[in-house]
Amino acid sequence: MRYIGRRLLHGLLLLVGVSLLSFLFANLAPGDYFSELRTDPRVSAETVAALRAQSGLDRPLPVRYAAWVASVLRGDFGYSLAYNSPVGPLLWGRVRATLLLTGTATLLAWLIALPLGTWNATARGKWGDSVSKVVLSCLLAIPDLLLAIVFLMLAVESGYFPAGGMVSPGWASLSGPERVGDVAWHLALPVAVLVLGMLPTLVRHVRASMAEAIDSPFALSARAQGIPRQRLLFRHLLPAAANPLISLAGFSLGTLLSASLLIEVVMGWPGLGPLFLEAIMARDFALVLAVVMLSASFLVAGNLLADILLYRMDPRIRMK
Amino acid sequence: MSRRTKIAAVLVFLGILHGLAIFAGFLAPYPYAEQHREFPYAPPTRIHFSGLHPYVQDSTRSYPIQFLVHGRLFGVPAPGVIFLLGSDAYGRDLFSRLLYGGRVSLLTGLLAAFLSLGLGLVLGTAAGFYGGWLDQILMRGGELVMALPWLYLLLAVRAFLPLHITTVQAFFLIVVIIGGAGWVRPARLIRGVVLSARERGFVLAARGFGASDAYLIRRHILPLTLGVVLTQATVLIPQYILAEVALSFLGLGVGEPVPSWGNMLAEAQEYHALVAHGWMLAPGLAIIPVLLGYLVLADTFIAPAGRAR
Amino acid sequence: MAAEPFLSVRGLGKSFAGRPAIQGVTFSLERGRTLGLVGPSGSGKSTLARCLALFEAPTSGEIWLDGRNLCGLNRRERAAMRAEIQLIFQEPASSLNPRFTAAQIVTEPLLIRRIGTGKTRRQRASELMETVGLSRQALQTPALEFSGGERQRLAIARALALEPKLFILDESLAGLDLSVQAQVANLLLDLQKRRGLTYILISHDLALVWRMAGEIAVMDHGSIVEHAGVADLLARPQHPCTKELLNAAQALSLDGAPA
Repeated sequence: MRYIGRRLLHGLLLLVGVSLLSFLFANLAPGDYFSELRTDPRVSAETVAALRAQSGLDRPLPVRYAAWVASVLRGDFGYSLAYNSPVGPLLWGRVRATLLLTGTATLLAWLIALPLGTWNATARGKWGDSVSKVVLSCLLAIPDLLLAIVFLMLAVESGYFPAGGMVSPGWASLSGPERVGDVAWHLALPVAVLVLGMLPTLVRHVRASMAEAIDSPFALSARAQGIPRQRLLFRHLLPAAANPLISLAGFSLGTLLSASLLIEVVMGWPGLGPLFLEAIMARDFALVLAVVMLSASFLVAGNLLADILLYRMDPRIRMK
Repeated sequence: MSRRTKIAAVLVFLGILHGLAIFAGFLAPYPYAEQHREFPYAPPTRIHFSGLHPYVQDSTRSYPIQFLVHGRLFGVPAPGVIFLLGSDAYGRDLFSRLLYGGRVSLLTGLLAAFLSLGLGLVLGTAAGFYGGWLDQILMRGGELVMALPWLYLLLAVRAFLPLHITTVQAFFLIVVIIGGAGWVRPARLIRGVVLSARERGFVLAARGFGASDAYLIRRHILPLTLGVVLTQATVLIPQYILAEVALSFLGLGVGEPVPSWGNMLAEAQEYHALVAHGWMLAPGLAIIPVLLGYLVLADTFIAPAGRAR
Repeated sequence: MAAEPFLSVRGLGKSFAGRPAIQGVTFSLERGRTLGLVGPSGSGKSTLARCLALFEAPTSGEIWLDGRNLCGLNRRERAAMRAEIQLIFQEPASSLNPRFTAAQIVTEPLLIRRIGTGKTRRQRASELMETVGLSRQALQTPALEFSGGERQRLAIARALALEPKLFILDESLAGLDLSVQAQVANLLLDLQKRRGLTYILISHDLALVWRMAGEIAVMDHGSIVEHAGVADLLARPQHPCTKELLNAAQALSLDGAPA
């Protein structure tokens, strides 16, 4: 329990550090939300200064940081100048959309990678493994961006898939199952691109971990004892290969918010990505800060979860 | 094929690809900004041969392809045009822009990787060799940087700097941002190597002879980091090329009229017409052999370490 | 009139984090002789070796070499004294940089201390190789292509580069085949005769100590419990620890060397 407590504290401190760093950096940057206004000759300097004072941009740094932390704890996550609203409500819808996309893709990718990687590990050197390796290597060499554009092009050409968005117009008037189907139809292409992007590294890691487990002395002796393959696989090999895979899973979870930025922007999926980009262009730094902190939290949480799981599952770590 | 031959072959392959980009000024028939408004979205020009002499033709006449003209490898006399890979919306030759764009994207990847590795080498060696508070600060700082999702970090940093800057400034800016954010993993790996190298017998022996820290690092420890540095290079360079492409694609990298594979891909987003203008995808397709090359190189570097068990 | 002994250690102690590894170590050694240092694992032999070789600063006591106090020296003086005392490590594989050539290894001390020019160093390299019985042709061969025994010879050649007076051999012959061990032992004895070197030999192998040493010190739990001439010690062991060691050695010995 102490270990878990320590790791939690560590994670929390890390997040505080990240928030400080991001806040500091954002404020050291030249210009802010009102900088564009300054270049407009119709707006006088006094007006800009007044606007600044009104939104509190002229207060000293520590005061602003404290105010921001207070806002976070309230659930507002700061105040967006571009949208003229607390950041919180702006985020949640988008976060849900992103999680839907990446969650589905990650689940699917793992569901494919585990059996595929295991099969490759058991049949190393045979044609299935070699073909797999070549195909996945080629896949790895294809940039996500290109895939997204090509898929979208095919969608527009053929009309089989929507060219963007999460729901069709008139979605609200659809029945329950029809709604789900509509979202799924919109999900298909972005998920496909994400999955194809994740597969090569996932399969490679699964294959490596399983191969190591298969080659290990205890597995060899288990096989010599004649334990049937199924049982061998699930009760002996998988747990042994679990360590590196758990770390990988933690990493997968951690990148749930950040993996799809580019894809969302290209394929028009209304997630955090496009919102982030807009905020950047508008220099709405409260929004930018909030998104960065949120994705950093996911990363830290993902690693933390992996650490804790490893601790529970691997007695060797507990002994240290 | 032996490991050495494989590495040499891939290096030659990559060298050719990078060479094509470096010598864009010579190999490209047109400067990257030259527009031919009469030929928007022209398909790739067909090349015909009369005997051994290649030529192109338009509706009225044929134009011979001339070599070593105007300081470039080849070209056709005006008003003929030779668009090996077609043209874009403004009638700019895609092949030329591909080469020039490759120069930007590939060079960014290389320079940024150089920066990351340099930083990682200095910081990792310092942390591993001296340990103590220096090590603590660097590792904690590294953790902070790693806690931020990479692409978000890049975009945020880029965005918080002036949006409207000259192309040259933009280029150096993104090199510094991409390279500066990525020092952590190389630094960690190098630190590990230095930590174990520090305790090796021959280092202790040299210390016993009165060797200075600088001597030990230079003569004994740094050579041991070479393996890690090379492997990291093969992993980082393609990653950074993709980062430049992403930044430029989103409009936060190199901008008009200077081409980069990223901003060229952004222009390809006219989806209704894209199928008819397939050549607009050329910058995306060009990335593939580059990535493949680095991938094979990385695998070949890592492979023996796996078998050594 | 009794002359000052060449090496004199008085009340030497070294603690790590408050726990003493060696304490109250006192002995002296004449020039040109070999002291065998034996004892069970953890008795502090290696710590003593490291203190004598100036790799560790002792927490108490003094070391006098050739009339000079080795403790309380500043950095430069200590560096100068390091030339006089050379430690030969146990692992020939790890004490030499495998990528360095024999020439580089052997002249490294000269390079570090900026002695001589490239040319004189090359000459010295040839001389040193000959001294330890290695061929000059092998000067450009990288260390990893040498066998264990040859590497130990290289280590000895390197140690000789600065013309030291005292060698500390910490299990230096332990990892070698018996026949190779004999060769290297002969080399060391020969060098001792020709150059008047003084040795402190730390070893588990009593047969080796019998062969090379003139006197033996037995260590246990950080201090010297018995110190006598080799023949005396083996014939009339006093301390229980010594007796245990001799019994164990006899039980395992194949050639029955210590009677």
